[in-house]
Amino acid sequence: MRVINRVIFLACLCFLGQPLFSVVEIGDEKAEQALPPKEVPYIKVVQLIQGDAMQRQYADALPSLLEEIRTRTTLNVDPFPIYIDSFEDEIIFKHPVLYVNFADRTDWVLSAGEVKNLKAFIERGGFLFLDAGINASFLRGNSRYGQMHSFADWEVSPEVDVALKQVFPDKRFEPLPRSDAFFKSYYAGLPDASALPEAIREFIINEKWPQGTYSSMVLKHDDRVAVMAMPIMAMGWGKSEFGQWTTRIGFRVREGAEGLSERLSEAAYGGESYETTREDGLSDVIYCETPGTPAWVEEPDGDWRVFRYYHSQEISDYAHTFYTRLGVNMFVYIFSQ
Amino acid sequence: MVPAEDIGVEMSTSTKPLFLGFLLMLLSVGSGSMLGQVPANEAPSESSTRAETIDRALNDLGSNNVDTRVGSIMLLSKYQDQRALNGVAQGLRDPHVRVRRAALVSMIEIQASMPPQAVEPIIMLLGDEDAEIRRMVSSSLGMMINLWNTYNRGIQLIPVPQSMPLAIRQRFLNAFLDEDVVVRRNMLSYYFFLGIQLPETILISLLQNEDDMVRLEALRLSVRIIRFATVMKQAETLSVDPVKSIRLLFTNMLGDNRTPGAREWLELLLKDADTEVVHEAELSLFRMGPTFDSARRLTDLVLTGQFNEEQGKTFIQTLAILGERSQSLIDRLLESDNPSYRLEALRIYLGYADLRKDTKKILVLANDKSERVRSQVLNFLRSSRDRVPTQLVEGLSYARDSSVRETGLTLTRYFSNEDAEPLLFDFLIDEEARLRMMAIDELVRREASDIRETLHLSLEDSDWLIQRRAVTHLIGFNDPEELNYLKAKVEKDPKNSLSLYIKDQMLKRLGVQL
Repeated sequence: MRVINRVIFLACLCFLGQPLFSVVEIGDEKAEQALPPKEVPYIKVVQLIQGDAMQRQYADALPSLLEEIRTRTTLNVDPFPIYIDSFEDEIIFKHPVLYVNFADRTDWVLSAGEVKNLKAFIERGGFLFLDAGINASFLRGNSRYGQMHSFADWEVSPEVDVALKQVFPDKRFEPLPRSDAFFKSYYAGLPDASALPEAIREFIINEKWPQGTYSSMVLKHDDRVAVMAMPIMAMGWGKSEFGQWTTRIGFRVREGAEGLSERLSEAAYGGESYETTREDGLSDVIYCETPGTPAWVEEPDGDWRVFRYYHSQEISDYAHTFYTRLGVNMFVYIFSQ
Repeated sequence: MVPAEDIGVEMSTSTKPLFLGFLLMLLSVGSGSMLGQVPANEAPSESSTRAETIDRALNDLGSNNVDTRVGSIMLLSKYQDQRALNGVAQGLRDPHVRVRRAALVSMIEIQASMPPQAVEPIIMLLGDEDAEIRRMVSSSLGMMINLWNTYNRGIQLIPVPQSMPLAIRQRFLNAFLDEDVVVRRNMLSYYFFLGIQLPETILISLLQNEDDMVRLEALRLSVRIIRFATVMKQAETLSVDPVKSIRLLFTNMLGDNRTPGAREWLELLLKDADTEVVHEAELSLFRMGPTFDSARRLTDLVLTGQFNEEQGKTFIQTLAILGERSQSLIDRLLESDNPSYRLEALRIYLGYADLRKDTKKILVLANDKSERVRSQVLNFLRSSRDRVPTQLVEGLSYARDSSVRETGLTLTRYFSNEDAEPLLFDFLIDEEARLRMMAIDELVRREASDIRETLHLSLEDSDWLIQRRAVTHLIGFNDPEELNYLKAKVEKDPKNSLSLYIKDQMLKRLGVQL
């Protein structure tokens, strides 16, 4: 009997009961080699939050990533970002990295001052990181959806596309190749996957995050990646001020079984259906039973598969470790391009 | 294997697609849409379409083909429908591990929406033959127990929660000794959810476990539930455990342990190969029998950087048990290069500091390099506001940090006019406009004798904030003499920005058009 058990996609957040203590961390050699504390931070990150900064998504996430980078690398990063509410704020010219969680900005139409400043910022070598901003269309109806699922599309959200066209009308976002130096800039490959459930381990290693890569769209300026859109902290990565993960991340996987394709093709669904762009440029059709939650998918080869959600402490730890690597890689990449 | 509950209304699998197609054709005549996926919310007979899908999947649950049953579980779990979810729950008891896994993943996915009758069977899967199932269940224990408590909270009038059935509690205990290390770790993580008492034999077994994390967590748990006697039975192995964190925790625990033999083990741990463990043993011995001589020796070690910072801080915190005898040591620690040590020492020092006798020393601390130390001093001064001497406030007014000066200025509020006014006049020449403004406000509030001349002078201040504040106060006196003074100023230089402000304020507040 043929068992189709391919797994393709990952990650949704869920808030199951948290363990009272003892979060089991997956060992990380580089973490063991922590550097001595640096006295005077000199690299500051500017974070844009439109509206009330107290309402920002995953408030502790960026500071905890910056602390991680400060601890693990030689980059002397200040863990506390500078908050701005518009790219018109000229403080952006004093610091090399701009961070925006896609959901922290509701109106992506840039003012003339923002267009001017953002263009000058990038032309002077600045780097804009958009956390999320490549969500599939079914996650675009409500900004919270994009903060709870990582269903990344291989194209940027229309709002981001329009905003960056205001700045650079002739430039277009392009997929970051899996062979790009980004994926080896500090960490290379995947964390040890032996703690993952057997049912999804093979997929994670070989299909989902091959060699530790991840979907990302970038915009280049003078052959340099100047804008990168990729969900990391928007995925729920981040530690609290007490050093514990603030969320529990689960894996979303696609699974099939003999005869299921036929059943799904004729199944009723109560939500809507959406097309998403795959890495190969073809489209999947996603069906939702409840809004913002993909239930099953029709794939270009005619297969139908169901989305399954796996949750466990090991999965969450694994995902956090992987996102830590991506976050650290990003900063090392910015300063080593 | 498990037929649909409402088999009576089921059609055969061969006739269903035909019927469905026919039905859809009838329904879609107006819309032009014919077949394929049927949006339930668009079809006029949504419930029948969904019911059809669920019926088919429930029927598939009775198949002899494992794949068909797995697919059926996967599909059923997508519907928030009681019949569908009951079908998924049935899968938890399927003889094939793949079906049970599929059902379990589905139930964990839908969390609180799972049928109440599924909760107990899921917890009982802690004893399943499949390690992955046991891992999944043990990893979800927090949620499962919360759900169990929700469904078993007693009646509304007498909301006494029921205790877990004996079979479940036994399953919990067995799971602590599961052959799979992840399950054992998870059980330790969720111990406080379980509502059970861990027998000593199991706790000892966990303290002897071959997995480092299990041993460490078992030791942490033992300390938290105060099972010192059990831990002491394992002292021989714990004191030489290859994991340093375990030796450190054990050593730390011994310091809080009044059981016989603790001191002997600590003396043995003083010979540990790792200096961190040795220092922890020294700290524990100090806590057990604090003497001035040992405190002095440990202070030397702390000040020369022999301890890690956490140990150093812990030691300083424990110095308070020496009472007055610790004061000379606290004085030395207040001069440490390490701001964390200074802060800990300060916390003890402020408990006995005399604001009048120690003015000079407090001023030094208020000007400490560390902001945390300065903040601590300032908080102390604010809380002791009715006892702060004028000399101390005068000293604060010369501080480099404006927040220190601001605190000094705020403290003048509790002084008599005679004591406060000279200090407030000093603040009028502060480099921070905000402080100058606060000083003006306070002098006005006190109706200081020279305040009017002061306000006249403030009209010439370099900062527009001060100028405007002075205007506001002068208008507020509602004194014709002062109003004439402002009027003369406007007439002298009508285009000056301050003149425009004066005109604006006179009009707004007094209705006077200059």
